Amino acid sequence: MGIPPLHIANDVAHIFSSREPARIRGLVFVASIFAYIASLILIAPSVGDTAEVLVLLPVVTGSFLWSWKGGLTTSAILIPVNIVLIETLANDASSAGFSELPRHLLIVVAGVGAGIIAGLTEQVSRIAGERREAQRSLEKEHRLRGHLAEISRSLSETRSLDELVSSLNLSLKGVAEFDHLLMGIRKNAGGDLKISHSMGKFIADIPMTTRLPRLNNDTSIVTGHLSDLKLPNDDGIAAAFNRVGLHSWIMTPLYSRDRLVGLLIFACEQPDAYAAHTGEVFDGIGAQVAPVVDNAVTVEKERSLFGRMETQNWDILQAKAELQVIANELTAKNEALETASETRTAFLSMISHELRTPLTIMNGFAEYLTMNSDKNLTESQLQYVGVMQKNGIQLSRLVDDLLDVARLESGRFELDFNEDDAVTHMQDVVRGFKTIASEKQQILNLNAPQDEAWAMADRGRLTQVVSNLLSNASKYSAEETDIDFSIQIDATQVVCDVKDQGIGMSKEALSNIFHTFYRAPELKSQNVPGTGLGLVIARSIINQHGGDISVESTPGGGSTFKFWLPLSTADSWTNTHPEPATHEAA
Amino acid sequence: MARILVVEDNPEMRMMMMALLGTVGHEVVEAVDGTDVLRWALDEEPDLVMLDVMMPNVDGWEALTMLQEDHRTADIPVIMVTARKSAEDMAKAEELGASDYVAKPWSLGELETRVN
Repeated sequence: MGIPPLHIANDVAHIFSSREPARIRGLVFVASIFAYIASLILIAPSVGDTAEVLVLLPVVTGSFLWSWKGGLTTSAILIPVNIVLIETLANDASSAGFSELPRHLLIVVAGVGAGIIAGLTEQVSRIAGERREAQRSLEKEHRLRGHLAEISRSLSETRSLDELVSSLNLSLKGVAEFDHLLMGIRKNAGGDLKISHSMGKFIADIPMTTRLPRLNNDTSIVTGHLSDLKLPNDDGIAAAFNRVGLHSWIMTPLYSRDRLVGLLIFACEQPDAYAAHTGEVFDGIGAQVAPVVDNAVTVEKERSLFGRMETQNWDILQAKAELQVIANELTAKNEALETASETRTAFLSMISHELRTPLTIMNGFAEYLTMNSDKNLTESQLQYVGVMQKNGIQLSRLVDDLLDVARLESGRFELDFNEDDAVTHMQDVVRGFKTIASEKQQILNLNAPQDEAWAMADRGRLTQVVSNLLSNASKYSAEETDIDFSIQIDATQVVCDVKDQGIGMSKEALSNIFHTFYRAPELKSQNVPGTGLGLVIARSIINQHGGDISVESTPGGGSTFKFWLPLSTADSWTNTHPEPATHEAA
Repeated sequence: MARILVVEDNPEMRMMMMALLGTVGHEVVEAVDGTDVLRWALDEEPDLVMLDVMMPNVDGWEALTMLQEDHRTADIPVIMVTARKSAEDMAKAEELGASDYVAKPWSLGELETRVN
């Protein structure tokens, strides 16, 4: 009967649900009053007598009041409509011949019924509304859960902070409204947070250096208006938000492993944007995000550390490679040096070797000629032959020296030691030299003790040394000068001095005199022949005897060569040559 | 005045030795090679043999050994002649039975001393 209009009216009524702001509800209330009055006016003409009024009025009023309890708007529309219909019905019924009582009853029933139906309708619509509400919030929750699940999933997939914030930005858009999102990360041991990421409308306007609120370890979700942000100074977030026009915000601290790791701030231009949001959602987000942020920060720290380590490692590897190159070069150079040295030794050996036979032949014939066995050579021819012989002998001495040097350098210089009276032996050598010295009118002075000095010596080689020293003394001194040879014996050694009055040596010569092939520069102008080998060999011989050789000299003031040999009984000899000495007849 | 067998592959060397030894009155017989040293020694009956160490085919050491091993020639004194003067060579000479050892280049004086 009145049902189809009821449904239409219901749907219309739901447009004006109790969600509306107070103003509209007020209007509706006023409208319903008017409707109440209007309905009264409408049924007034059809009211027959006071009995009907007494019935209708309470019924209508009662229904309205009941309906208001249930739903204002529905009743406001429904009830007058129904009353009118009922009245029409009643009129029809009365015209159909129904008596008064059933008619009034009908009205009461109709009125109550209308009221009940209105109330029921209201209930039904309310229940439907609530169900829709519930469904909506269920859907919302589903969506929320879905978003959170998505956030959770994307969080588990992120590796870096940048990825994390980007995916948060995307997924949180479904969960909360925000025009700007800030992420703060703890940068140091103190509680200071610095903005690490800024996403949203105001990315260009909020500087990354903007100071974030200082939080302690139990700060929980805080929402608020601008004035709520308590910051120590004005260049912080409060000022920034104020400047750009973000009027409400919600801040979610991120805790992981009992400490603050970061902060999320959502901000919206609309004021009170987060007023109705429960902390639960953001708590959940915070709880999910915090460990991931913690992880990401740690990972990034590790990555940078690792990166530094890798760089260092790389540097080390490079340095190693360079060192290897240098080492290789050194090895190659070393090998080259060794080869060069071997070549030189081989060269010296070859030279001395190959020269020997021709030298022997030449010297032999020279000597033969000096003997003049057929007595047919002239004086000058004999003289020439003598010169030839002398030069040949000199040449063979040189060859001997070269071979000695070659042997020295290759470590094949062997001495043949026998116990010998050094004093006697050297005296013999010196005396033998007198004739040569006399060629330059040089006087050879010998100063030797009467005692014997027994030393382990290679007689031939020792002779070589003494001869060389005397020969040098003579060579580098002018005619008619003195050469002094003195021998001294002390407890452990025998010491010899060879002193000349010759041209002496400069400092430079002094330091190089015992080096192979060295000839002092001042000698080149003097045209004195020499190979620079004699002293090298002499030193080696003396050293192998366990002694040493030295020189003192001044330019123009002559030179004094001094060498010493350990006695065969001396510790310095016996320690290094632990063979028992045997006395031989001199 | 002795008869000396000189075994030396270098002809000029032989020439020189002959000349030099000749001036002091020795008679020199020359052999070119070590191979026939035994035959030479038996044929010529020298008072002294001078062996050059470095010869092709049969070197001085082998020649020395050959002479020492044959009792007919074992007593003939032998002087080894060589370019090297090393302790090992000298020891070897002694070991193999040579009487002496002279190194090139040498003078007549040296030679004479040894020969006598």
